[in-house]
Amino acid sequence: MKILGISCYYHDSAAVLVEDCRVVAGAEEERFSRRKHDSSFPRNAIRFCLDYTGTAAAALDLVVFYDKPLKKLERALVTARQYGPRAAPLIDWQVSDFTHRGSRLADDVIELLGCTVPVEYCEHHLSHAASVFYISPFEDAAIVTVDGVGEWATTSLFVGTGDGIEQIREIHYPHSLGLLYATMTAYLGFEVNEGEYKVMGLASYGEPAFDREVSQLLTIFDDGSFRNNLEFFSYMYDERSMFTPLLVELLGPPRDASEPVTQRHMNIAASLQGLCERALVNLVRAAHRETGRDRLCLAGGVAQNVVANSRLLAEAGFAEIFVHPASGDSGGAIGAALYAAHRRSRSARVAIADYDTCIGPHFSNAMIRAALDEADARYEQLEPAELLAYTAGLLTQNMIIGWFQGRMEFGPRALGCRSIIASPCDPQMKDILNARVKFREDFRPFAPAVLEEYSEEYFDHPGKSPYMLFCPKVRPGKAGTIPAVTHVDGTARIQTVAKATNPRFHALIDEFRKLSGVPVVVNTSFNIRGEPIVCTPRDALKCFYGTEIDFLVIGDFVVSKDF
Amino acid sequence: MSADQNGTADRTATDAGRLAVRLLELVPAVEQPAVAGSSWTERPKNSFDMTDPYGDP
Repeated sequence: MKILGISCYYHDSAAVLVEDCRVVAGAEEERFSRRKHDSSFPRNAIRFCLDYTGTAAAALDLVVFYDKPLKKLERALVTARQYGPRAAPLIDWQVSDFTHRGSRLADDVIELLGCTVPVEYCEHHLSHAASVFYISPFEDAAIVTVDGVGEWATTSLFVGTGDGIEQIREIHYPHSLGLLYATMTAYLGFEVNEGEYKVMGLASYGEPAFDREVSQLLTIFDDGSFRNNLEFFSYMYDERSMFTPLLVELLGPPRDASEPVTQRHMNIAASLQGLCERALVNLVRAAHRETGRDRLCLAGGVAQNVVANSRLLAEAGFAEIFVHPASGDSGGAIGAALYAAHRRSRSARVAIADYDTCIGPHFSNAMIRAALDEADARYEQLEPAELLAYTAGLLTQNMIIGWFQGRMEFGPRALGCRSIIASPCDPQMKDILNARVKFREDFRPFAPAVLEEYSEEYFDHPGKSPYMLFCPKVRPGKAGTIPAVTHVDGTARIQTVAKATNPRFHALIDEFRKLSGVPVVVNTSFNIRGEPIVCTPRDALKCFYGTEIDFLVIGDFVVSKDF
Repeated sequence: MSADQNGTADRTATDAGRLAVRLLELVPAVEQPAVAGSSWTERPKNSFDMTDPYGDP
């Protein structure tokens, strides 16, 4: 059975193809359109899924959308009714959005595919829950999903057992940890749905000096739930601002995006991060008590808060936590398709030991060579072993490498297929990368990719972290060895790299280890500020020539600016 | 900007605005009773209807 999952019309559109309960292809639309967080109907991503797998549109059994548009509209209307005329501009936009986009899904599908395929709709939080449980290594687990808002739910508790997922309860809009964090992201002068991880990074530089004030934004209950103090928030009715003058009275003037970041902003960010961590720990502890399970699956946009994830692992009572590698809305396309597939499957589900996020486009050496020739690039083709040794040598010389290999990752993190890599040993490397390549805020840390077998020697994290979703402490004595990836608070957002799942990236880091004694490299996404991660060789070349990346290693080719 | 307003939706909303006013007259006021010490909403078991874009169980 072939099922196409789609998420779109809000942010991070994506399409995935599931065959017999296996995800065989998928990508975010932004990678093709080159518009970051593209929310449009994912035509290019759908075409990729069908073309890559050789699937004719007529062979699709089902298309599944990742939420229920009419139920979202209901939420908008009910909210508007509660807040009266001041909500008019917001409802105007939301109804327009529904009539122009949400209600058109089936038409868009038919228009693109050229044939009629049944369309189903999976609730937003169920899509998140299915996305994480069905790709997890667990047969049986509690599932917690937390985001801004889906239809009504902002937080949900499920239990997954074998093939089935059963919901227990949920917290409804407007009470939302995701919208609390988004509101404070806007207050701190960053872009909502983009700047939340900047706030998280900023928090490490601050002290929770505003703890008493920020705690007033949220009431945390003993049963794991919470309630936003709505007198501080206006996202329910105001399309221009998410917070009320009362929040300004409480915390002082909001930061304009053009203003410099000060210690006060860092302290507010630290206080917010602390509040969210307390709420999440309380929520997940309740999930542990209630479900009696030892394993937790976590998804939804808030699950991208890697600092909170590490605290949950340490404090919430679960023996293991599996977080979806694309826990935001793009991952909903995976969940919607997998949920529909498992409902129809006649064979028992087999838990996945090591889910592979690399389900995107792949380019052969012949295709890469053609792109290099078209760009008149200067390159050499090397044998694989020679390529690894040469690249590792460049890393020891503090060269910055664009690393383009295999199928593109699905999700916000580059995990060794569309990455920029560098030595972690140079204390200046973070500033060099920020200034010469990434052009981003200097307070944002870079992440380490570490050989799985050496991970616990360097980081206080039990087991694997293959998707960069935990942020443990760097072991005492090791921070000085890898200063470029050690954040100001002594943590690092680690990616453990296994030989079995990413052999070429593993082999490269191992070559670097042999030369430097350090089994770690800096791994940051292959893009520049404001652009999506590169998808094609042409994208990679554009980024390479538009920045001060020293070498591009793409397939079996090494591209230099100096040949 | 709120999360809901971050999309790139078509904002030609004149007709939509009129429709909104009409729909508002049709939608009943739904107010969740506040439960002291909790904000959970219970969910009926196996209440997922995938065939309906509205999907109320």
